[in-house]
Amino acid sequence: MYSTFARERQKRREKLLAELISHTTGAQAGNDNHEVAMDFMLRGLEHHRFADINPLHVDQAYARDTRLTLWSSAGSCCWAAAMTSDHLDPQHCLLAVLLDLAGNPLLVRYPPKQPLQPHAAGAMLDSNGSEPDTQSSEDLSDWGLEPEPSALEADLSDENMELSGDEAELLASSSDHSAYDQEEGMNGDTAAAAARSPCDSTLGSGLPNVYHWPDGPAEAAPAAALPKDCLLARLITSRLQDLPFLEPSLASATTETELAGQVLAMLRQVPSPGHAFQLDHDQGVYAACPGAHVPHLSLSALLSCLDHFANLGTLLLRLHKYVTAKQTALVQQSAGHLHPQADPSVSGADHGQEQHESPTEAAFAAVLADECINISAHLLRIEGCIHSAPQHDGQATLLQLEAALEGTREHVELLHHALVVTHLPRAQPATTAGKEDAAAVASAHLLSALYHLLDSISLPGSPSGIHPLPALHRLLHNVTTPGSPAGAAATVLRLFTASLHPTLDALDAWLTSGHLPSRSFIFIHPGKDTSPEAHSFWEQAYTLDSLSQKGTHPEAGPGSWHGSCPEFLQALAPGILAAGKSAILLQANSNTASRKTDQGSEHERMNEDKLPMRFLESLQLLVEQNQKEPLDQPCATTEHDIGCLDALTYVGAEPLPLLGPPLVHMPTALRMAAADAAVRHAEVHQVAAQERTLTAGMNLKPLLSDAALLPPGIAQSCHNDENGIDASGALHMGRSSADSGRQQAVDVASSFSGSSHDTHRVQQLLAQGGKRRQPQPDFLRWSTDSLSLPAFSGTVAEHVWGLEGVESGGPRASTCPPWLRRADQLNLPPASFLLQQCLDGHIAAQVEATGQQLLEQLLGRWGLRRELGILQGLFLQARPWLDGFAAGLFERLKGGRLLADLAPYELTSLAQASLLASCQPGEACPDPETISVSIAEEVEEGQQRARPVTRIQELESLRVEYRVAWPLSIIVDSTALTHYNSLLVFLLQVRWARAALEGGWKREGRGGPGAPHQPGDVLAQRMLHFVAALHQFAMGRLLHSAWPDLLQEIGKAQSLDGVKAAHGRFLDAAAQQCLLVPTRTWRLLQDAVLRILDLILTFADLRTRLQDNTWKQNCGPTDMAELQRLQGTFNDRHRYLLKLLTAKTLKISTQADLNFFTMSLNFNHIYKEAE
Amino acid sequence: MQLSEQNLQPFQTADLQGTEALDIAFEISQILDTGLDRKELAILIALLETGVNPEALAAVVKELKREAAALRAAESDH
Repeated sequence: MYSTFARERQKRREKLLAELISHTTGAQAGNDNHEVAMDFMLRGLEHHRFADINPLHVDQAYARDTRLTLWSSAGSCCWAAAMTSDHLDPQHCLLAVLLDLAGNPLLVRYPPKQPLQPHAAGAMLDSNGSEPDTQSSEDLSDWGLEPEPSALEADLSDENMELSGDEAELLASSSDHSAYDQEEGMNGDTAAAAARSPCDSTLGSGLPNVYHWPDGPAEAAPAAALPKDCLLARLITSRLQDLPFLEPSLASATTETELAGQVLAMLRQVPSPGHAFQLDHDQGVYAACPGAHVPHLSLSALLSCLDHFANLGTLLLRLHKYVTAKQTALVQQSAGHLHPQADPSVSGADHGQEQHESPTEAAFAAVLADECINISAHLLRIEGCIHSAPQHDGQATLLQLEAALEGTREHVELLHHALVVTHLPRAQPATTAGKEDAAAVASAHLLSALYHLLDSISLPGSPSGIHPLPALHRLLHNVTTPGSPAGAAATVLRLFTASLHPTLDALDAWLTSGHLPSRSFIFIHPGKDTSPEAHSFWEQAYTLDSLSQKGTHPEAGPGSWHGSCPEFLQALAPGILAAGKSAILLQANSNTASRKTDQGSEHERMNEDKLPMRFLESLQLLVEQNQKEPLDQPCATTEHDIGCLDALTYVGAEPLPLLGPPLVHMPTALRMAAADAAVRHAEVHQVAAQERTLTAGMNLKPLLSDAALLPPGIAQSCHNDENGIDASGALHMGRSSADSGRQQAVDVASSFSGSSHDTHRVQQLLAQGGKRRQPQPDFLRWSTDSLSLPAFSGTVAEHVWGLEGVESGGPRASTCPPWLRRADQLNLPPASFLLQQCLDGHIAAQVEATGQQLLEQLLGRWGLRRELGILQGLFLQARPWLDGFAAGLFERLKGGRLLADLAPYELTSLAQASLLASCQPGEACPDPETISVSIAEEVEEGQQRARPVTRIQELESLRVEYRVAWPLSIIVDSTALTHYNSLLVFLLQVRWARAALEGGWKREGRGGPGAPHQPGDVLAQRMLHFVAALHQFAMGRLLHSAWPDLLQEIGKAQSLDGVKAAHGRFLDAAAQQCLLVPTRTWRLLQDAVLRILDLILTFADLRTRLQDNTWKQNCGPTDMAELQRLQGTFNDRHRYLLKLLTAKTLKISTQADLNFFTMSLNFNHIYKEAE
Repeated sequence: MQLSEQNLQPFQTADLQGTEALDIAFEISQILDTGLDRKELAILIALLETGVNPEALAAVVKELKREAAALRAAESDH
């Protein structure tokens, strides 16, 4: 996609390189070493165009070259030729090469550019832009210009190279090396015409893509600005003869000091900073205006520098906009609070639907405002330094300003990055959309993002780092710059700490008093019924959202957080929730006097023992310890960074061909060049300081581009006002350069190659009459101060925000502690470790303390053990309180009566009477009024069984209810009471069967010695044995194993949830012991047992009927047959039960108690065949 | 196009001026002890005119000279 011009230029470049290689190494064309050297040089020159090998910058530079190619097509060939590098001035290029080869490299490199805004480039072009080649058209579309073929493009094509008229005149080129000019059809007449008038005032008239200066038409004066006798003017004249130059008029010229003032005004968001910058209000970006012009600066360097400043101003503008928007919203919100009737929709809205600003975001905006104010104060300080500079006879240069703003730039970029990552749009999960409070979700997202940012900075080599490019930037420049991880860590820690403060305040209020802010924004959501006396208080009054309980949403990637709980608090969230509810319960149960006492202690506690203060104290202690003994962290310059460098080196480049013994290892050369660039970048400040020192008092102005960066003396020698540079000036320039090498030998000699030789020559030159100049400490100190970012004091923010107060809803000050506000360098451990040390412990201690306090109340004044003992006595029949009730019930169910035939009040009276009759004096008996008995109308749908209802199952519709006193009803809730009732029903069923058998036995007067044997006695004995074994199996564990376990676990519990869990485990064990586990296997067992019990009832009825009919005389064949049938049925069901108990496939016989139960049933292997 | 004497005169003048300028640049180069000879300097100036980055050019020239010296040293050892 080369244009003809570029192709010819590349050919010429390769030819010259081949000649240079042959001359230097002796390797001729065709030799392997020649080919390798040629490949190395071509690739080295290609990749070294950019200060930092950043693909984004490469794209931007390519887009810029495209624009320049457009200009060249309009006649400014020299622009394209020169602008393919960052150095526009030929004299600058020559000096750069010579000084670099001499070991004193000259730097004009600016820091890497930020992404340009399209409109900034679009302003540089005429709207009628055309394209010279296909690639240009693609790039034009990126800049918002529609490429359209023009006559000029057709004329520039290979098929039609003939130019005519103004176009040929504009495309005139040099005469001595005009191979490509001749190929493009340039004839002598047009070249001569161009030589006579290389760029007249008619340039651009009627032609597209002509660059116009804002104050008038373009004027050309190649080398006219330089004196005629200047060496470099001669070079330009000889080498770039007849090339037209576009040069702005002198009326548009300004000084670097003035531009520096405009830059600072723009950065301080002054409405009209000057003509050098313009603000695009639509897109909210600053851009450098094309009218800026400094005579001694190349246009490309100036625009690059101004673009750099404009990008910094854009970042600051976004920060200001965000802060202003948040503060405005808070003011409006506070106004809404003061006048709620003005907006009834807001005042009457529910908490979950009310739209309000998140306090976390407000705190984040406040700390951002704090940082912005400090940055503005720093900018004011720099401006003061610039204004005081003339007393030292110095001119502030843009590069000095750039150096002075280096720390600020890193700081602003970090703040902007934090703003971006904390406000990235996030996809709302469909399952919970609209259920959480929007402010809570925003707070959680912000805090989680800051947590990850802090983690990535404290661990720069981690994959979750911000971006590899900042690490690469640190590698290429200096790891001790203000943008180092230590400095960034201090900034992010300030942001995180201040943003976390409202959440910690809310957590403290919740943990200590169960109080949520009126507009809750933390992850605890109040339910509809938040009354502590409500039965569903513990389960439903306050909840966590589902995502906060489960973690990261599966649809989201790692690091993204959708719940309303910050990621680092997720593990503590259940405990926090329980602690707050415990505090509410404690307060609700305390009397008025103790409540007042608690409030008094709360008021005292607010000043000294609140969670935010404890967090900050721990944080300060940890940071101080870490500053003394830094943790073993990965170094800032890690293998990861070097890997990034290697990876970026090969971006867009093919693997290097290695043919034969390589002459040069390309990666090594690139890395050396990068390391040299890093060293030289650090040296540029010292070189500039030396230059200012030596030129102080000479009343000289720098002439060359970026003269402040030139080695000492060069600027002085190159600019001799009217005489310009002559041969003697050049000699003096060389001496001065060597002089600078001696001056810098102390500081940077190790990085300059051949410095010893330079020092020797310098001594010779100085002996020839070189002037020895003494450095001026004052100016040097000023220069040094301007290069370093002063530490932020924070006093301005305190004055500005502190006066506003922290009223509810109003603008609030940053809650960043003073010691952290003053810190600019921190070595931090990983964020997870930091929070574990400083926050998690305090929260866990508070949760544990609240839980212990509640447990003390539960086990003490509230009498949990007493209540559980009552439940045990009632439902598990540990006490004889319901013996009378059971006997009366069984008596009423004789003769086939159904439970539904009985009246509930009758049963209730029966139970209460039984309780009153059986209670012993001094015994902890329940209040009879708390007991009631009812009969379920029908079995609930979920519990309905497929099998027919047997007689023994009549009891399953029995409901014995006990009213548990609050707050113990939180533990023994309705679900637990249902389980207790099921246990009681099972035990009553066993007891019913046993009572039926024993009643018949006693009535017959059997069991005595010498009693006659009766038919069915053996079966009755076996049935009695079965019932006794079953009753022992159930009650043995309930009373002697599960119950002590429950009391022991309650003693070990740390919170109310622990007690509830222990009680739930007790109920599960009891249900298993009573064969009430709701699984298919256990249901088979239960059915088998109930069928046997039902058979026992049938047998007992038969015996009773026969006994009533004088058993001895009337026991006929029918009755005997019935007895035989019952015996056979019992044997079958018994065998079936044993088969179930011993079946390995059912996997139920592994239980120790079941094994014992099996052994008890199959005593003496009486049912051996069943095994 | 046929070049006449009148047309050649400006080019000859330019060559003379270029030679003089190259002399001065070469003197600067010698003072700075760059190790460049006259031909190398001329090539470098020509390369700069094609838009080559001066720092990159200096880097590759230094590397080229270093490798060439190493090759010559290796050859002399053998």
